Amino acid sequence: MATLVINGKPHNVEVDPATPLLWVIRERLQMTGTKFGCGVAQCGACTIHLDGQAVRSCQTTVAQAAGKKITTIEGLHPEGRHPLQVAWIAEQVPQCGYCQSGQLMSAAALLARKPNPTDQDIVEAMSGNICRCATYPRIKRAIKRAAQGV
Amino acid sequence: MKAELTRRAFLASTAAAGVGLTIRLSLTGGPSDAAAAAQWDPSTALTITPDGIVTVHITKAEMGQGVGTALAQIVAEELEAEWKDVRIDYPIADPKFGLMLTGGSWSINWTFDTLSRAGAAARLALVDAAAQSWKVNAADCMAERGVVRHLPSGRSIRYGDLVAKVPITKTFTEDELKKVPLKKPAEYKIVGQWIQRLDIPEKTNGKAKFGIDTFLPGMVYAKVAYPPTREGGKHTAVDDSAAKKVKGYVATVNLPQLIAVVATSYEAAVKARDALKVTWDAGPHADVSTETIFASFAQAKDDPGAQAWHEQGDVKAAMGGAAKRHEATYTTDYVAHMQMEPMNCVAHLDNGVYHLYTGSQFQTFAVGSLAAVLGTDAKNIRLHQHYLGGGFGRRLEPDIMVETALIARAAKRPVKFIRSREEDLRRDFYRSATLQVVKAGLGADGKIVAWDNVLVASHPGKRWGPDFVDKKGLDQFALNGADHVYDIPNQIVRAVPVETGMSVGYVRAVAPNYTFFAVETFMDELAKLAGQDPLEYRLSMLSGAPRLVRVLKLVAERAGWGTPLPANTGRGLACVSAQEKKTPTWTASVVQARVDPATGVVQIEKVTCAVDCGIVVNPDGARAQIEGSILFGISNALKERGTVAKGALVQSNFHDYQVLRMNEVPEVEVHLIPSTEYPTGLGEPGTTTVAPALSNAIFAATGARVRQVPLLPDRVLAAIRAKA
Repeated sequence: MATLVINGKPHNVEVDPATPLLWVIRERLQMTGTKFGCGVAQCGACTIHLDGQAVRSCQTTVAQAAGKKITTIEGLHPEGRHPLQVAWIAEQVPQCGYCQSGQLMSAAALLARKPNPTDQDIVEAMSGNICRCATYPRIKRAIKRAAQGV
Repeated sequence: MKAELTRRAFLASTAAAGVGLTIRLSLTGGPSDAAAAAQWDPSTALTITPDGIVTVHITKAEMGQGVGTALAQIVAEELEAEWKDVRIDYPIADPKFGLMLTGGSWSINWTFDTLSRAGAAARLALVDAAAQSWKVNAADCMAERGVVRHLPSGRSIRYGDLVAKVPITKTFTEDELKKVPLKKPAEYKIVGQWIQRLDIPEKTNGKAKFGIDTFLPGMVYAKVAYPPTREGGKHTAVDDSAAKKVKGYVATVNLPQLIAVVATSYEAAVKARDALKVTWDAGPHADVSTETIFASFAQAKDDPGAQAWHEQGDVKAAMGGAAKRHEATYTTDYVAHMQMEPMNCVAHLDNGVYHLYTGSQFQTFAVGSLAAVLGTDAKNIRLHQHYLGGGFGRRLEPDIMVETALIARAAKRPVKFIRSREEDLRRDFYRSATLQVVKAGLGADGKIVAWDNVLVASHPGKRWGPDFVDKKGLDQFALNGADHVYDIPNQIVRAVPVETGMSVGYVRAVAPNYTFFAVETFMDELAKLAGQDPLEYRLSMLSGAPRLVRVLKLVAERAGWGTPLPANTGRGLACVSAQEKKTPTWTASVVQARVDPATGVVQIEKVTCAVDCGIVVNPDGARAQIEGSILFGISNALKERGTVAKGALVQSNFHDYQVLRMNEVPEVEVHLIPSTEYPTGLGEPGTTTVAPALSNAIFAATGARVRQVPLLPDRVLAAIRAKA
């Protein structure tokens, strides 16, 4: 049994400690905002925060996450009004939307680290997140908009 | 399946621009007979409730196009609804909705007229009801922003109150519906407006529900053991003794069609499946490889029995009399969908009724296929539609639903089946690899007098069945685009369908990806041969396509066509009538690219695109579609190469099947032509312009002609060296 603190709430889960956190969050706890895309840390759809750092939950085990502060898209802001979420709507970023939780979590970790990122900072932080609809130009615009507080 | 989807319905729908077969024409809901009605359904397209909320029922798949918002705008415009009162939902598949199919950039084109009429007729019925209740002349009443007003007296009533309190009795025959007067584009207040998409807020907070987000009580997880080859493999023996020892193992499902295990969790199902010892008969395609496939294509191109798909004039005579002749061979590789949400489904057999939870682009086909495979009536198939985590044509296929339903029936409990990315890619229905040989004869003035194109590809429609190919056995969706719009008096396009053992399907922008690659690259080659500028050369042969001339001129001007560029940098253009010649979205792009002559590495600096799609329903959504389709095209053109060995795709995940990432995105500039013409579609045409415009830009930059897509560095380098 492991205790996972997700979005401030403790959850006791009965799983093999080697289980990827992704499957526990999604399929056991049914917090489905975090998405499965590749299972090998190539696409970023499963990105969450572990103690504030953006990590791929498909490559993070329950053992690694236990005792740490886990944040998912559902916990990014209590009303879904994180500046990035507001900017995502203002710039009409999502198309199919499947990768966007991961995009937002990567972007949120970037802004927490660098409140005023350059274009290069954004590209470096975001190039691990694939969007097959290719909403990249709008993602970039939305991150800048959020950084500028508009 | 055939009863569900007749050839007539399919072909009529695909052929008829603006003729709405996707939603029934007649108002089927009938009168709301009593006071305090719970809701009013003037047609299958919409429902109005006493609270004034107008719900537009979206029978097109939402896979990122924002189609729900756009279709709701069309209804709301003619209904005179207040936009803030408009909602959308995605109903369970039902024959009453007609052909449920989302693809081909057809959604707006097929429904604009029908949904306009559905909205207008509902408005007229509401006005009529109000006039009757007031005992006044309906002609003295008008509807605006969700309210009916009697102009002489100033009385008014909201739509919701009408539904709640007043019998609404007016109905329309199909003929009457066709005659309902519609607004002129100048009168539009909602169509053409920058309206935010209704699906976007829940796609920013994790609440949007995709098929993969489904949970049912008592649900177990399935994993299928797939054969080593894409087609024709079969399991001959199965030893599940080790699988049974896996904690969480529930059952082995051994059917003629598949072998699977179910377990209490996804991880347990993976472990148990991996513990199966399956003996395979790899089938007849175990030795198929990229090399054998292209060797078979090279043979097929000379097939004397090749069928003419498009023909006019006398090519042989004109070619014989030409002043100059030119021939080129173009090839393209397999392309995978790589939609972000791996294929998945939840299935539950409950009292003889199958409930399927997933996202489908082709519910009509899925329901028919499921009914046929499961041996049940179509009315026992309930397909619960969800958001699609990318479609791009992948979710036209019902394969995941069929497999999950079979497993759920055998396992006797609700089953969730999620393919891994590796399985998703290996079990994909790819865009066919192709080989095209194009020949042309030029007159003394450089104009093209003869055009001869042989197109070798696998045709997806063959697998789908006789309803999806023409009398010659050809799938028009494997050929569209080869019948381009240039003024060439003598033309022939011959098609050679080839079976390879690699399952092919429809991938975003479908055939026009490879047909326009050949046509538009060859046009550039011919311009060179004629000693003319590629832009002027095209413009001189487009007398039948004035709207294409306009976008071509606009894009050239905005891209700075003809202005100087640094060394090793060039501009190339392409113009298309995609997706289909009968319902074209006139699209032209200029790609500006820099080539490193030492490595062959190509850097796209900018893409400028001009589009005339007629009326634009949602301008920001339209721009998003064009931007995305261009970038999808760049991904296809620069990076994506599916290769084959031992009868299966070699690539397995995003590390070896790479798609475009943010660090590779150039500037994309989009110009939409204002228009009042009947609307066509936007999801795909932009994609088709990229590969030819890029190949032409590489030629402009280096003088080297690359005739293979993707335009990989080693191919560019080889072309540069061949030139030297």
